[in-house]
Amino acid sequence: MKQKFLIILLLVSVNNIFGQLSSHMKIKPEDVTIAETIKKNYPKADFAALTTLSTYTFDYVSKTKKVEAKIEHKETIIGLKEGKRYQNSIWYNNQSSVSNMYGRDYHNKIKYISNSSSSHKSSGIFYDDAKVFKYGFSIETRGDKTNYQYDKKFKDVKYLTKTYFHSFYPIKEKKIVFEIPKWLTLDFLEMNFEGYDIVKTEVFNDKKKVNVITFTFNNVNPIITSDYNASWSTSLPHILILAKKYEYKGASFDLFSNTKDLYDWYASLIKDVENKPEELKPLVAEITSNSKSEEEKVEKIFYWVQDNIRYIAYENGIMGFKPDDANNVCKKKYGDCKGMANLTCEMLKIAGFDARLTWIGTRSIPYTYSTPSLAVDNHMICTLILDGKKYYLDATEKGVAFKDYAHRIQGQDVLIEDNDSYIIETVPEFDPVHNEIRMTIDYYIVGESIVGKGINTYNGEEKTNLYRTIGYVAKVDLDERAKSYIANHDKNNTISNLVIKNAYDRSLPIHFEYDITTSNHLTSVANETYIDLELDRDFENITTKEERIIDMDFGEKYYKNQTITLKVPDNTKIDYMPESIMVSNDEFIFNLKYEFDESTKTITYSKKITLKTGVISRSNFQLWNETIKKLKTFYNDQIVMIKN
Amino acid sequence: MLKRTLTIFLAILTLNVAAQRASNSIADKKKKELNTAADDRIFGDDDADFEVTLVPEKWEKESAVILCQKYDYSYVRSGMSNLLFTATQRVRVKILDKSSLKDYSVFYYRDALQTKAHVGFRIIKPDGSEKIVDLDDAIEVKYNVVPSIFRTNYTYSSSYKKIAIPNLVVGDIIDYYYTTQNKYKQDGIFSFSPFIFRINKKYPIVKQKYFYNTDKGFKVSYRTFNGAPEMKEGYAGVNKYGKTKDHIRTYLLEDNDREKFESEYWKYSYVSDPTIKFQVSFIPRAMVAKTELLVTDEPLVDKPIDLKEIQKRVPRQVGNVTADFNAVVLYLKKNHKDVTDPIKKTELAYEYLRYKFFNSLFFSYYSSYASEYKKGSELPVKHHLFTNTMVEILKKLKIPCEYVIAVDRHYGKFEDVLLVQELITGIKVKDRYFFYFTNYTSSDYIPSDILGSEAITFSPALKYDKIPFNKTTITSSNYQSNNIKNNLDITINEDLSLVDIDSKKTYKGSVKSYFSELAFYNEDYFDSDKRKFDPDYEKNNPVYEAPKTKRISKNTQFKIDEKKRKEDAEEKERIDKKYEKLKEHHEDDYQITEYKSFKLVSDGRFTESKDLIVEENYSSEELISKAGRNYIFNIGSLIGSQFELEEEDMTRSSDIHLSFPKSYNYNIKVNIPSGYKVEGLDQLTYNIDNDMGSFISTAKEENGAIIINTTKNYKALNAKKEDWKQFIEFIESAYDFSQKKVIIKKI
Repeated sequence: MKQKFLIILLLVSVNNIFGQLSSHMKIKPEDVTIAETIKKNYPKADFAALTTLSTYTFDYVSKTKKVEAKIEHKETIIGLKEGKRYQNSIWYNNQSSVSNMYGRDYHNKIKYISNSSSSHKSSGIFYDDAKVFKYGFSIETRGDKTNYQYDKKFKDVKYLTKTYFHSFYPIKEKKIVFEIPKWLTLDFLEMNFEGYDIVKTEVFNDKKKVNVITFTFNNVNPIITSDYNASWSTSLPHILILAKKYEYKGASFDLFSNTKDLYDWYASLIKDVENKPEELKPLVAEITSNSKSEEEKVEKIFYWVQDNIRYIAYENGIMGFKPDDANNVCKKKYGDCKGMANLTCEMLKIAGFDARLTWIGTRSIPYTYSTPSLAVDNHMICTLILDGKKYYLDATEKGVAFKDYAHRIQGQDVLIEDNDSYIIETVPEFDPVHNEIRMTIDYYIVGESIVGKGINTYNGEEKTNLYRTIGYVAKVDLDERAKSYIANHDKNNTISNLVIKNAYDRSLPIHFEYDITTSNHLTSVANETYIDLELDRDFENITTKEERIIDMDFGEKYYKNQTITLKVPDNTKIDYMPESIMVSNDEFIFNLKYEFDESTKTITYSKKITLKTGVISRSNFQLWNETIKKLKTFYNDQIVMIKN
Repeated sequence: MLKRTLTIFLAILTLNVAAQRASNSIADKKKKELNTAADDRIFGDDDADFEVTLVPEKWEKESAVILCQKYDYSYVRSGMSNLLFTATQRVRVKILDKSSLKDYSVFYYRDALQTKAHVGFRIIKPDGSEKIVDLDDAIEVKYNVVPSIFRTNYTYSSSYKKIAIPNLVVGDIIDYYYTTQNKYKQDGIFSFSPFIFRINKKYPIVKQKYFYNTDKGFKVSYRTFNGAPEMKEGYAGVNKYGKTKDHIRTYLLEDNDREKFESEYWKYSYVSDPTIKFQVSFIPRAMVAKTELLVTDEPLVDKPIDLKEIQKRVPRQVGNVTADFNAVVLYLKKNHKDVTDPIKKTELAYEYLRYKFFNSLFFSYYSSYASEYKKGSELPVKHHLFTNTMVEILKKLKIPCEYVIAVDRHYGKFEDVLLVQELITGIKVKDRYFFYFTNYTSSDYIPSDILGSEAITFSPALKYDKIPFNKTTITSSNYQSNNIKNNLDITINEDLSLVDIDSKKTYKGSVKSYFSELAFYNEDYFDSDKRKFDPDYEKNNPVYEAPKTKRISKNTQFKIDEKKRKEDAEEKERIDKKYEKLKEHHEDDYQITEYKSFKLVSDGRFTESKDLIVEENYSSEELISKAGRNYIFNIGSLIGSQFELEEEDMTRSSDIHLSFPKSYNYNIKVNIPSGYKVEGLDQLTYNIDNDMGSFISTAKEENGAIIINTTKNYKALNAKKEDWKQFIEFIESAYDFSQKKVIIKKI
């Protein structure tokens, strides 16, 4: 039946294309006007929501002794174009469910809402209990309205952590309503509300005996698909829901009323972990043998876990929070972040160190541990306390050196186990210079080519990335692959005599030395020579739509420091050099310039590009685009030399 | 009452669930036992080749080395009317670095009791210790997430599992097997899927074996090529109970020291690399004479097939002819009585048959091809369907024709042929060949697979073995007849920031397929067939004219307006999508600022207009930029992205096989903005011309415009590896040209 339906659907779409559709739905003029007005503002959108209402209610379920949360979602969708299909998905898992989906058409008759449930396969996760409920319906024409609704339930309110306003289509009026009974203490954190006109009201509903809190946000812009997306939680306004406690039959029960409650729950899960240190002892002794210092022992253990334990993530119910036993991870040689953190900690403890399991939210999560919620963290690492100092070891970050930290955990709050108590600290944050890509090439002209010697050095995050790439290249192919990488996969660059240093040493920067011949960057006409010293054209195509509402995030702080020199031949003078670019603001610096030194007859082209945080905020999109445009013009420009 | 019914209903439901669970656990237990038995049997095999642990020194820097692999196939009879097929693949690999570790760290496998599919993995540590992987940790996955290399051919809905191999590190050996057993009903001829494959793989192989165990009645077709060792007949094989029986034959191919596969451009690996072709089929003695399979009374076919056999058997391939060929005959008799030329008549039959065929394919109620049609994807008809249908049509039209059987050149020549699948059929009328159509082709189309191939031709007859045949070669088209002509008329705007390109492209011959998909995307190209062949076209596609006398009712007016409005909206969307796609296509060459128009001048599907012709207009900012006081114009980019040969492509180890010879012509006119002059045209002259190909270009200034003509020819169809140097010469020149820039200066 499903297949038959699909075929009919396909036919309908072909018919549409060739304009043979014969049924014509009568749409009221006012609805046509509404659709056309919205379309004017959002020409790319196929449909929009006129109203979206999510109502949250809460119940105590005595059987499970849990507070259950229910969301009733009601939406009115209006078509903006002809013959479109509305499609959306709802995520759920073992802790939640979706039900009661139904809809009504333009004439208020029951409308078929197609739906299907399937397991979700997120990239990089081996097993995920997340499921996706996909649903959709057809929209005949512009102005065609559909009302639909469904319920989503959370078995335990602690898994209900946040809610967003935005969707991938425009919304005229979005309302989020919480009906909070007296027996439940629920707090809200209004995240990223600045710059958005979100109105909050509060009234007491006597009939239902609930406090009704309503957030209203009108004219919500759609999220458009783009590259380099920052996380929703760092970019978009949303409400963090903090279920703190409830009363039942006169007694009060804590949910997550403070960080201690959250920690206690985590700690209760850790108590069930059964590490068997005696099984790991011989291995630890073997790994740490012949170590000359305590730090060397730590390095050896940390690197052993990085190198020998494959990262395979299982997200399955409670196992999404509870680490696998250390000896189990060691035996299987794979594990998720929790398993790997647990093994690192256990091995360090066996070697006599003070090592603690540590919860952390990566950079995609903007909250600190002052907020008691399961939404605060998504990752686990190991904290080593050595000579009173704390070091953070994340063995899932292959290739990261001891005392170095991946961008995604830098500057983030950590919750460190401390028996019945806990410690909150912050992972150190590095400057962009930590990730410096330093490149120098000294060129001279030979015939129609420019020829030179180059040195590239990769530090920090850039080095880690490269270390991983090299690690996955067969040794027989390494030279060829590295050359192609240095040549920027550009046939005009020929790399030879390549020397690679520190390719397999994670504590030192990776270093390339090579000879380079670049062809087709020099054009001679009459007595003039045009030379292009730009090789990489970094960022030239990375502009963004200004209507985009999610920040750009490059996933690391960036600092490229490139110096290219060119020896000017005798009897030649410089006629023209491209004008410098210098743009600097709180998030990025582009500093590119040409200089000529008469005494050495050398042109120096220096390019320094810095992304201070790795993020370009919405407020900076315009300047960013303008800068990229300038940059492109600059890259296209050339040096002009004249023969005397 | 209701409550009671409900309770009973619930009770039944619960019972059912419980029963299911119980049976599941029994099944699981049974499955586990069987798996363990398979482990014991396969890992317990005393084959010394699977004891090897050392990697030859020359391969120590490789990512992985296959120490031994064995493919074991058994085809035996089971009872009176069943065939039992057992396949076991066992591989022992030494992991030498992280990249191969990744390849072997996760496996997917079929898991259902009824398929008798078993897998086993064991890890051998450098110290010699061994451990079998516990499959309890495997998790169930849906078929759609299973990577294609792990999927089997016939089992769409089977449940699959995946397992992360535990305790596997660099330096370990992983030894694993997959085994399946399937029972088939013996009901006349039963042929198993044919296989043609290389025996050199991603990683080098120390030893590999292919073993076949075949019962009476099974035919084995088996040949090896290009250095793959011969297959040898062995001792008596075993029946389904494992008992040795004299009538069961065994065959074994053993291969040692096999280097890994290296890919090259324009390589036909089945004619250059060690290759095996095989097929096993069950054919009752009485049926041998009747099948289309290339078999004899002998149990083993391992020699070149007699051409007489090919002639006799290949035309027997049949299938359902979807189009009614009588309709084709009637159409020609009714509408083209006056046409006498047999070739012309055949062309008309070809086009009408194609119309009938696609009409039913695209527009029948349950057609799933409608979306393919919209996308412009190529949809070929099966060659033997085409040939047999055309033979029938021409017979009724009393047009003499010949049956053509040609060898697909990916597989070699007649002397290399073993399987029906290596042959492509068609017809010949006088000296014209006609081969199967696709929705892209005109009637002169010859598939690139058989260009220059050996072929036999003979008159169609009821008994083909009585008719003599001629051996011939399908003439290869020349590079001039497969030509893309590009006429570009280019204007630079006043402030020299934007370039406007008017382009007319003509695709002749086989190169049409390069652009057909884009040209037909979101285009009602089939409309030209309907116009030509559908007598009711006008009735089915009325041009609505408002009645002049009658007053139109409000409702009718509404319908007319709505129809028009919808059509306009949809047309706009159709064009927008098409332009977006075309823009994306051109951006492989340079960035397009605005894609402005597209016109399909000729779809190239009919004899009288067999060229695909399109006109386009678009603009680009990327082609021109300021340098000092002057402007740099990336004039070389106008000939499009060129083949980029890398350092490793400069040497060649296999012969060269192009799909077809072809040529590209660019006639470019760039109007120089007034007040400016151009410098640097002198570097745009190239003249490389050799036996394999050429790149020739000229550039001049004429009447205030730059005139550039370039020709790139790929002259050869097949070439020796020694000729590669000549390819490099013209390919590199064209690349060089594409990088050239000229300077536009103010006068």
